[in-house]
Amino acid sequence: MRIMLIDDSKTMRNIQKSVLKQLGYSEIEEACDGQDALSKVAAFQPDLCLVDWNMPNMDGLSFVKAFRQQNKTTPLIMVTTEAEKSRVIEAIKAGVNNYVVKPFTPDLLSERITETLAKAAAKA
Amino acid sequence: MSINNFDPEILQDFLTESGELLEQLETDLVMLESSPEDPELLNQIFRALHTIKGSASFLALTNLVEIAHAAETALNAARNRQVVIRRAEMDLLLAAIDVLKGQFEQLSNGETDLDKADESLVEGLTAMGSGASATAAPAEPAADTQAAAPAQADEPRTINLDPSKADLVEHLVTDVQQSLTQMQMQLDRLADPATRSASGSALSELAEDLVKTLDFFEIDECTRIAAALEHAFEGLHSLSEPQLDQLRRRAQAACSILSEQAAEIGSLRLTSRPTAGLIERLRLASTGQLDESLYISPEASTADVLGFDGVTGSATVVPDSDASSNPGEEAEEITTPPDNSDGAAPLAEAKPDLTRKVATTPDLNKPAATAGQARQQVPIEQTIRVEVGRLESLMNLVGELVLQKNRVGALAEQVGHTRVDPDLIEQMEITASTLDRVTGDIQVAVMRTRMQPLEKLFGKYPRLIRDLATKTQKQIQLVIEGGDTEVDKSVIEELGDPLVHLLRNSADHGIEPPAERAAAGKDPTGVIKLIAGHEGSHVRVQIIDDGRGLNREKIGHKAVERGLCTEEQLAGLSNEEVFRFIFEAGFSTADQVSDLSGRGVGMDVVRTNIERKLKGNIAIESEAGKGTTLTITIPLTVAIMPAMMVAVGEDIYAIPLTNITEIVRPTPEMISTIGEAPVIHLRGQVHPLLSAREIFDLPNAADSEPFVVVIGFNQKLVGLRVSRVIGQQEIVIKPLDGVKREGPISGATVRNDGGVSLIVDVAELMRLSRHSHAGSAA
Amino acid sequence: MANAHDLDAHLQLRHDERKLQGSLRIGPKVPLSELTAHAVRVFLEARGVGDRYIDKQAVQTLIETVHSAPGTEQEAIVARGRPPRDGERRILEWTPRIAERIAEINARKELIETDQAKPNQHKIPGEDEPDAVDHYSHSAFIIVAAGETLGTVTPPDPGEDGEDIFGGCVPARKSPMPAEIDTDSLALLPDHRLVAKVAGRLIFSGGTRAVETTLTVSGDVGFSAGHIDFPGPVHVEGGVKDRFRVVAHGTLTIRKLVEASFLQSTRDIVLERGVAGREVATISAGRHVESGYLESATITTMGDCIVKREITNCELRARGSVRIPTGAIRGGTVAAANTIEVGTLGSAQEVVTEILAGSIPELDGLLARVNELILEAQNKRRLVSERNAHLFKDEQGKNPQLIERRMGVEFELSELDGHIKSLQHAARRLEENIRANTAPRVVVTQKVFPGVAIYMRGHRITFKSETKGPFTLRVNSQGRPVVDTGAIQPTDAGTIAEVKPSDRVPRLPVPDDQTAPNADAQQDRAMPAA
Repeated sequence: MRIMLIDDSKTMRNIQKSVLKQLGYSEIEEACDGQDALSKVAAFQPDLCLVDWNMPNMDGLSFVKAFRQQNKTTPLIMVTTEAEKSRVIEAIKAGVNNYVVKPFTPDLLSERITETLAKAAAKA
Repeated sequence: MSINNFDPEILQDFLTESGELLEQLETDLVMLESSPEDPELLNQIFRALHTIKGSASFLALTNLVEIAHAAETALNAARNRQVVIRRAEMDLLLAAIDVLKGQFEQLSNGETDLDKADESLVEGLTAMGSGASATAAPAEPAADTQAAAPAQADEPRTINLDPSKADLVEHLVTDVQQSLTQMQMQLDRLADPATRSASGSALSELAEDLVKTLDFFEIDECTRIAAALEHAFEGLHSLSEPQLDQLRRRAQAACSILSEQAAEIGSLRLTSRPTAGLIERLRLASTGQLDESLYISPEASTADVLGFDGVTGSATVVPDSDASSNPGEEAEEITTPPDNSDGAAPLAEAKPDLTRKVATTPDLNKPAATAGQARQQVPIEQTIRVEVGRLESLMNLVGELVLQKNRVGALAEQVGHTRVDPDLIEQMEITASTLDRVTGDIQVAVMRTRMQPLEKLFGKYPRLIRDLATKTQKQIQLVIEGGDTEVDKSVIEELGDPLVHLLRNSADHGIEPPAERAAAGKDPTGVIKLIAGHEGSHVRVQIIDDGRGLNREKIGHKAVERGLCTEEQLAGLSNEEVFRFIFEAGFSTADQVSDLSGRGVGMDVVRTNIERKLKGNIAIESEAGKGTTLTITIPLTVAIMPAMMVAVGEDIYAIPLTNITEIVRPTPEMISTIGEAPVIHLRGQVHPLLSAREIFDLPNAADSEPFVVVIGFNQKLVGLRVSRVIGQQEIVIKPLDGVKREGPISGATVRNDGGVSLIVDVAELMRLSRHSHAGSAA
Repeated sequence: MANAHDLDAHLQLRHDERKLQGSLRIGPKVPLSELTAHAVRVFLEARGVGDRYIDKQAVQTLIETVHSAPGTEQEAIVARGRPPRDGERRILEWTPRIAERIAEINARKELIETDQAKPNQHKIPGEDEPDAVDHYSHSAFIIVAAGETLGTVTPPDPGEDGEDIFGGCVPARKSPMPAEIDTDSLALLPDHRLVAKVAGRLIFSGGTRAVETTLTVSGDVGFSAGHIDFPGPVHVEGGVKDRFRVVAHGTLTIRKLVEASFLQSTRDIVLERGVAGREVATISAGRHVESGYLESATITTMGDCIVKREITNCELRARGSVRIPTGAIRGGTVAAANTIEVGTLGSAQEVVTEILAGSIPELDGLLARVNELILEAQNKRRLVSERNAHLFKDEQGKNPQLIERRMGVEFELSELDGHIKSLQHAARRLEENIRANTAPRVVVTQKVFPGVAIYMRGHRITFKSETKGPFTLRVNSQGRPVVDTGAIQPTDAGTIAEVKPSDRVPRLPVPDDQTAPNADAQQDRAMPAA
């Protein structure tokens, strides 16, 4: 299971990484914005991406749109803030499979990841 | 009341809107002939006529109102199944349309005194409208007996959502409702063939989004409906009109269910509904398999549809006044006179202010009929009308912009050769390239504003073919494909006449009389296909008939007779080359001159129009007994085109890039003469070789001409010798109106460096090469 | 016939027995017309010379010479016999490693012989005479591994008899007898390789080639023997000199004195006399150590340490017990996981003597370190949560940056909690381990002097005055040190000694001991609600 973390905040990536490690996922790639992520997805071929909404250069929503052009199936989890919640539907339409609002607890994130992967596996 | 009392803008609006309706009307009528009982089609025609009548009476165009009213009355009878539209009835209706068209013509020419319709025609129509009262009362809609078992809706249950999702429910509901509103709107537009394809893809997208959203919330019940919708919109284009209509009605019902459910979801409750029947019928309709017994009658409201499909408890298709669900629409409703009490038609595509005035016009403001239909929402205008003149000037400005862009590029290059700060040069180059890109985008965007679907043109042809078939007593089916292909407005304008000519030719000369066809073992009904589509940067329009095909001997004989070639030359010509003689001026092989396709005058006009004005070409293929295919290829845009700039002595000419197959620097062995005509050998093939210096009569251009630009046109190649090859440029074509042309020149353009270049007329060039060779061979 | 006879008179054959060759002399008056190759051959054959021994070319040359110089006497060798080939003995060719080692040992023998008078002048190599012979790093023994190829053996060649020119046998010499090969410890494979069957010392000289599985050093382990690293038991008849090293993969027995050297055995170490380690000697045994006495040495043993007379100024760690019931422990540090049984503890001069009872120093150290880390982490956690308290007070935190920082802090805190938790887990495991492998008891049969400190499960027990035994110190079920003096009830150690808390040997939480140092680690998890 290869997982890509896309967030401009190193702290957030660390948090996500630790949750993923606890879940037993060790193949993790990090990207600091949407563009960086796009440049890495081809080589990394993630099975799941955690995407922050607010990032410099290319924000999460744009990334999702661009990514969905080339990849329809890999599940995407959007990391949003309370402020962006009203736009979550927009993200869902763009192809996001799940979302988690900051601040979240590691347990919550882990729950989201598990449920998203389970759903994706059920569809596959 | 004189028309002069009205704002010319209102008149213009009327002409545009009603003109479009009229065109649609004609198409629909022809379609009606094949399915005379299609209720939706009848409704649509009725509504269109009604709208025209309403608008006209507002403008006090009495004569127009009279004929429109008569036609409307006749149609109403048909709608009520008091009359069946057969050929005679159809002729009457079409004649009425012709009168209307004539009157429109007069209006647009500024005449206000419109011709009155023939008394007999009005009488005929009126008789059709009233005489039908003798026939049986309208049958109960078949749907009644076919209704699915009534189902009881469950009590609403609480839905358990994950807190994170419950959190978003409010947004979900807003979004779903928005999508549904748009969907309803697009569903309305779906009825109009002109916007069908656009609506279809919009619907697919909307449904897909809906599925994604609902799926995320795991409200499976709703997701199923949305998924059914998504599925249903996939195969729209291949559906027959009635199936499409049924699909549309079912989709509307599905939307209304979803809308109700979405409202419930807002309070985290959901009432289960038995939607399986509806979903199944949606599926059937979308695959064109819906049984006619399951058709919904045109009068049925959405609630009726839901009842019929077993979603709600009520299984009867009782017309149901649901005005309360659409408050505020009263004023926008056009009411019908009492004698046409069955059905108030909502006004599609009309401007609200105009409509409101219509509604208050005294002689129409009769008590509103209560028996309403399911009201469709008036679609919100997504377009604005722009005067063509403004677009033209925008186009010209963009053309200028392209030129200036090219000059900036050239300047940037020049600056690069000077000793300016390299950073500055780089900046300049970046700016120039950005400008280049932006200009390109603007150019495309502006071009697109001028794009219109060929449908606009094609819509007229079913009627044309029908008339031809009637007059020649043939059976002809016109199949139209690719009507949604968009082309520049100027193409629409220039292509119209040639197409009419070609279609007439096919119908008149191509398709055989039924008896002859039967004798030849063919289906008595001939088929003419009109197929349009994009082909790279070109649009291709094909007219394919399965008629008797062209007769090589006849044409050849005629060509020799007319001195177009000699017997010997004839023997060496390919079929296509022989067939092309029909495009020569004054060439007609018809033994009998018919009053439809004329005397062959015109085929040369067709070719001239296509080649000169549209920069396109026309090819002809034919097989005796099997049919003829005419293929017109037109470049997508005509105002701006990529060209190769070549030098001939001191002068620079532009050659359209699309026609250039290659540029060679021939070795002496590659060039020789046949007779006295020079030729170039290219990979074992011999092609005529022309000298640009000679053609453009530049005796002082002493240079040699080391390059040969190989130009392809209409499947023939010709070499043009030039002095130098400069490079590729996008050029804006400036017409040479009023300037006397010397040689094969189609226009002029301003180059990057500001100089003026003439544009080589490739078609003319080809003709020159033919002549010079024919001459030398003779 | 007469012709032949005539010719015979002029020809003469001479036989050289030693060289196994015959030469022909032709007189000056030989009838030239009769002198042909054929005639000569007939002559030679008639004298018994075998045809295969005749050198035809030489005969022809001789005849030609006579013809070209008539009237002269000519002589040449015209027949050769075959010399015998002598027999060869079996040859054992050592592999390069063995051959090199043999050469080294032989060279060293000479050096030692010339040098031995002044052994103290040998410098430790590399110190200030880099070119000096390193007498320490050499070993007088070649140690081979089981299965090691030692060399190749070329089989004996019996030789071949020769022949003289008349076909007579010239016998060859026979090969001498080779050295014997001990087939119990060595194997000669069909491919002629000589392979060791067992690991041990290679006997490469003398009448028999063999591998000895027990190394017996007849004298001291010193300059003549060098370091010893032997894959089996080692028995040293002498002592072990300063700075020499003996490693044995079996019981190591040393008859005489062990000086400041290094001893290691996977099994027992038996020192019949004792160790005078000069604070350098290091002794480690996989099982027990037995010694007459131990002085100024570092001893580690996985089993018991049994000493007859005294343990003086040693660092002794025994995973089992230390037993010196009739002797004394004076100075140094003696630690044992189990019982320490001693006659006299300390000295009248009150030398500082530390007794660590129930201690496994490695684990004790680890446990101490882990407990230290737990404290550190707890302090850090307190600090982080205090410093960022303001982030959590502001509950209208819609600011994304604030949220991220807050999440960062929460993450850090939870990381620290996880860290603390795993450290605590490690501490528990260590404690369990220590408990399961220790049984702290100090048995004093005679007396204890002041200056002695006994450490036991978090306590330090000291004696103000000389205290007579016999008594036994141990910890009771509550973890308190108690003393058994033969009375029915043990009494608190405080009755005979001063008892203070000390973590030199860590305290282990007794079951249901809630005041154990790490039990409260969780209590300040004041995680603000996320």
